[in-house]
Amino acid sequence: MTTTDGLWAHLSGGALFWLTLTLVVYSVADRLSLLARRNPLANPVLHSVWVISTILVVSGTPYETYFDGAYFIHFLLGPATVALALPLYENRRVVLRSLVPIAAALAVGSVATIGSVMVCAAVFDLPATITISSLPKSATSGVAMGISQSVGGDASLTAIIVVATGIAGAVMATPLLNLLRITDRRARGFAVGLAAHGVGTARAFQVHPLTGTFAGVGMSLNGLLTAVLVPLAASLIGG
Amino acid sequence: MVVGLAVVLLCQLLGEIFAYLTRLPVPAPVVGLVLLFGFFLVRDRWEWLPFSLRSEEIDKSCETLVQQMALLFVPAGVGIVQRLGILEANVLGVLAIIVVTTAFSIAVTAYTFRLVSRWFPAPTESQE
Repeated sequence: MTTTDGLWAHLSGGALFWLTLTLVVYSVADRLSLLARRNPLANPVLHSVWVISTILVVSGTPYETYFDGAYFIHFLLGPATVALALPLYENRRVVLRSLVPIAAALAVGSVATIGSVMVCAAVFDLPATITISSLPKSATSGVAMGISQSVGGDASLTAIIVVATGIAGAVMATPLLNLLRITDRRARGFAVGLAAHGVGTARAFQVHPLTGTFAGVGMSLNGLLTAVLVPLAASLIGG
Repeated sequence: MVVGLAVVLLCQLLGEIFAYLTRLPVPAPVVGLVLLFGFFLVRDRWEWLPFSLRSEEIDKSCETLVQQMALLFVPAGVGIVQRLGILEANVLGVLAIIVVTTAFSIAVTAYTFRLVSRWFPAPTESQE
C-alpha cells in the first residue's frame, strides 16, 4: 500500500508521467476517431481534454504539475504554425488565383467574429475579463495568448476558450456547411481555418488536402488580422 | 528530422526577432510561416544551396507537424481545470461565445468567400 502511494507520488510529481499520459490518451482518442470514420463528434482533442481533465481533478493534481510535462507538446504549437508554409507552398497557385475572395472573406470574417463576441458579451453581461480574453478566440492558441496578454486579458482563460472554439468549429463545420450548401472546398476550408484555427485546420486536412490548405491560409491570415483588430476592439470596451 | 526542425525553429526565431524589433503586433509564428514559404521558393529555384537544405527532410518535418497539429492543443485545453469557477459562474455566456459566435463566424466567412468568388470566377479543380 505504502509502496503504491510512494510510487504514485514519485511519478505524478514528474514530467514523464503527464507527458506520457497525454500522448497515450490522444493516441487512443485518435484511433477511436479513425474507427468512427472521422465522425466530427469523435473529435480527438475534445475527448482527450475531458479524459485528462477528469484524471487531474480526481487525482487532485495541480495544472502546473501537469503542464510541466505537457509543455513539451504545447511548445510545438508555434513550429506547427510555421510548418503550414509547406501545404501553402504546394498549393500556392490555387491560393494565388483565389486572392480576392480570400481577402474579402478574411476582412468580413475577422470583423464578424470579434464583433459577435462583443455582442454576446453585452447580451449575457459577461465580466470584462471574460470578454477581453475571448476577443482573440478564433486565432490559434499561441497567437491568441500573446494578444490576450497585451490587452490585459487572462492568457490561461484565452487558451481554454480558444481550444473550446476550435473543438466547436471542428465538430460543427461539416454539418453546418452542408446545411448552408457551400460546396466549394476553398470556401469551406478557409471558413473553418479562420473561425476554428488549428483544431479546425486539422479537421479540414482529414476531409481533403485542398480544404486543409485553405484552412491553413485562413488560420494564418486571421492570426495576423486578429492581432491588429483585438487591441482596437479592447480599447472600445475599455473606453 | 534534425535539419527540418532546425529550419522551422530558425524561421520562428527570426519571426520573434522581427516582431520584437519592429514592435508590430504580428505573431512570431506567422512571420516564421512567411519566411519558411520564402525559403521553399528560394530552394526550388536555386541549385547552389548546401545539400542538407535541399533534402526532403524539411518537407517531412513540416508534414509531421501539420498532421499532428490537433494533439498540440490538448495541454492548453486541459487548462480548463484551472478556471472552472469563473466559467461555471458564466456558463451560458461562455457557451454562447464558444458555439454561437463560432457558427456565425464560419457561416459569414464561407458566404463571403462564395459570393466574391462568383464575381471573380473560380479555378475549376476546386469545385466538388
